[in-house]
Amino acid sequence: MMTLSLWNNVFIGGTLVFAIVMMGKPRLPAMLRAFALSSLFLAGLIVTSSLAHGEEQPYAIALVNIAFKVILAPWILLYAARKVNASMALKFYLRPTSTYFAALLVLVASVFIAMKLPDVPYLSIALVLLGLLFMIIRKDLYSQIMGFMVMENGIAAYGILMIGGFPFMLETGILFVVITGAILMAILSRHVQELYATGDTESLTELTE
Amino acid sequence: MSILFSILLFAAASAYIARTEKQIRISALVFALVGGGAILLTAIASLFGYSILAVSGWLKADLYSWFMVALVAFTYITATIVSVRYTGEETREKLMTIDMVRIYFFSIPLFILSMILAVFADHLAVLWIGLEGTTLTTTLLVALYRKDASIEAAWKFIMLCSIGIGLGMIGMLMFVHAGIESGLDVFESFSLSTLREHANILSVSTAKLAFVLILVGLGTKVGFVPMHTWLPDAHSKTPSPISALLSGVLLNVAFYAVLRFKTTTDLVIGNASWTNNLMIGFGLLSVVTAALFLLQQRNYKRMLAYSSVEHMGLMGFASGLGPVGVLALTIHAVFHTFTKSALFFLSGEILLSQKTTKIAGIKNLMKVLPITSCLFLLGILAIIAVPPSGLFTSEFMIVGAGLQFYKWPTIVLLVSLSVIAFSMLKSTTSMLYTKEEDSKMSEVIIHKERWTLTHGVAIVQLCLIFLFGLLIMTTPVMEFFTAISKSI
Repeated sequence: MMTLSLWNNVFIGGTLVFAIVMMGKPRLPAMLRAFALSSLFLAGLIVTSSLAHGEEQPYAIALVNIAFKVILAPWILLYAARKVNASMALKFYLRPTSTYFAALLVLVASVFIAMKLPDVPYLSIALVLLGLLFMIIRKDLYSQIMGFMVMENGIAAYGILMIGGFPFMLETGILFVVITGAILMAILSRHVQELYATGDTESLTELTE
Repeated sequence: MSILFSILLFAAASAYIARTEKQIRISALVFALVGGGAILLTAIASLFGYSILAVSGWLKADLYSWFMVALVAFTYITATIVSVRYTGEETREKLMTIDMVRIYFFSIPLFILSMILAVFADHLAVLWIGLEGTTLTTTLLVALYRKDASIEAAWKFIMLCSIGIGLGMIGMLMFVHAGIESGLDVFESFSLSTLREHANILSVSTAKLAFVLILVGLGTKVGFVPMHTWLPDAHSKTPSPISALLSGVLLNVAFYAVLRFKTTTDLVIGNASWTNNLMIGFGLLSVVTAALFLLQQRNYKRMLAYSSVEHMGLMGFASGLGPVGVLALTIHAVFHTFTKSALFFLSGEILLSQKTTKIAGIKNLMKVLPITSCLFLLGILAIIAVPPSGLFTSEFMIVGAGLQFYKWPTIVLLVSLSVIAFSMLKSTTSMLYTKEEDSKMSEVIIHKERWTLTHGVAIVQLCLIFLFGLLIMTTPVMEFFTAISKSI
């Protein structure tokens, strides 16, 4: 019989593993699938963590999370990319093997930071740092958006693990704002694709001093 | 409060209900005058102690928040009036389509609503939604022209600001966690005012770490160096009235949020010296960096943007100087809003006429656009704090207090301010008085500059700057501002 705490650990592990798997994916649909799975485990974490904090009905919040992050966000990005016939092959500075090694270093660094900062959960630190790393090592716009979304998952993980989540209204409000951000980023990436015929961030070099 | 929010929502909706471009502009103007006017009057009445609106629940109003709302409402009205002229002119020249005009007037009221929400927010999640809302509602405005540079500016803007506000959110949640750990319930822990009331029982180490994250995160939105990189790009690529809103009020709203957390952290720690040092550091770095970039500036809109980095740096520096500094930054906020928005409005007139934002591309402007040039020169003199501009009073107070507490940083600040004044005057005089070498000038000057709405708005703002600049030194006005600054 699995206890609530064991389920908690499974969901934490799943969120982290799929976030790392996502980092090595060289194609957009695979990257989005890995992100959706990571977010699905995070939704599971919302349920177990909220139950552990004494909440009785965390399912609505978990469902809203699934709707926004597991279904809507990946679908919007894929739709935006297909609309402009963008290449599904993503561009990166580090090859997948080197990326996984860098992610491993981030995980180790997160352990040390978590030991120094007991008020910040390991999962949250790791996801925020992985998101930032992802934005640095990839040079296509879609990966940048995903890096931001992983980072946002890290912030959500802090709220879930340390505070027991947000009230339903606020959680929906926050998710609405996040998804609006993702839509706007997708619109901008579409414009970049149309202007430069590439989703490479290296093409954005017009504005310099 | 919901009435005011509804007016702004209707204003946004009207951009898509109106059929023609003219109808869109007129409805935007009517909503700005009626809605913005109502908000402005309510804020002014509240500042003088006449409470008209009840603010409760997740929102909370003190004197400082009404003061910020008054600035936001004033700039909303002026920016919309100028926008009517600006978008009309750009549509006539086929630089804007009707869809762009719709996005323009749809986004402005939502942007104002987000700022008012952020100013009144007592619940930390509502504050985050308000601040992130200001980014989302302005992204399409930065990208409005859909050219290479504007799309790049919008991309940098949304990515950097969203990441920054995300980091700030972690800081805010750490405050909430500190509240829960100290025995407060979840709802109380999300309330900034409750956290302040119970500051003495919160964990000092958590509050310090949370404040660092908030300072770096929300500092991105304020434009503190080194997180400022989005600011010159976004301000220079946005339509000028929007640049005025971004520079004139958005930066102030973000700064106000930082300030609220600074005072809360001070209450938790028990003294202000720890946060003061951080604010002095970020403030000074911002002013010095702005001075270096202004020295070699080639674009007049970027020049104004770096001037905003400088002024936010000055306000950051002032916030580290105790009560006198907070009074100085309150005064500074008013005059910076008036002056910088007027300058951006006028820069829009220059852009409409000269079709370039390059300083080197503009010659003998005083003859080509005499009204705009005179007003622009007066605005530049006001922004570099030449008396009777109220910025002289605030900067005098900052330097005076700074020399008492932080002698060498203040001397560096003073040198940087001198460099900035020199650079901005040099660039401005080059635009205004450098003679055209070829004979094109003679063709241009025969077209006498027409009087426009923008000039009217800029004159009102400059009159307010110089009138309040003189009044600010009187006892009743100083007492009024002291009461506002103490309410943070």
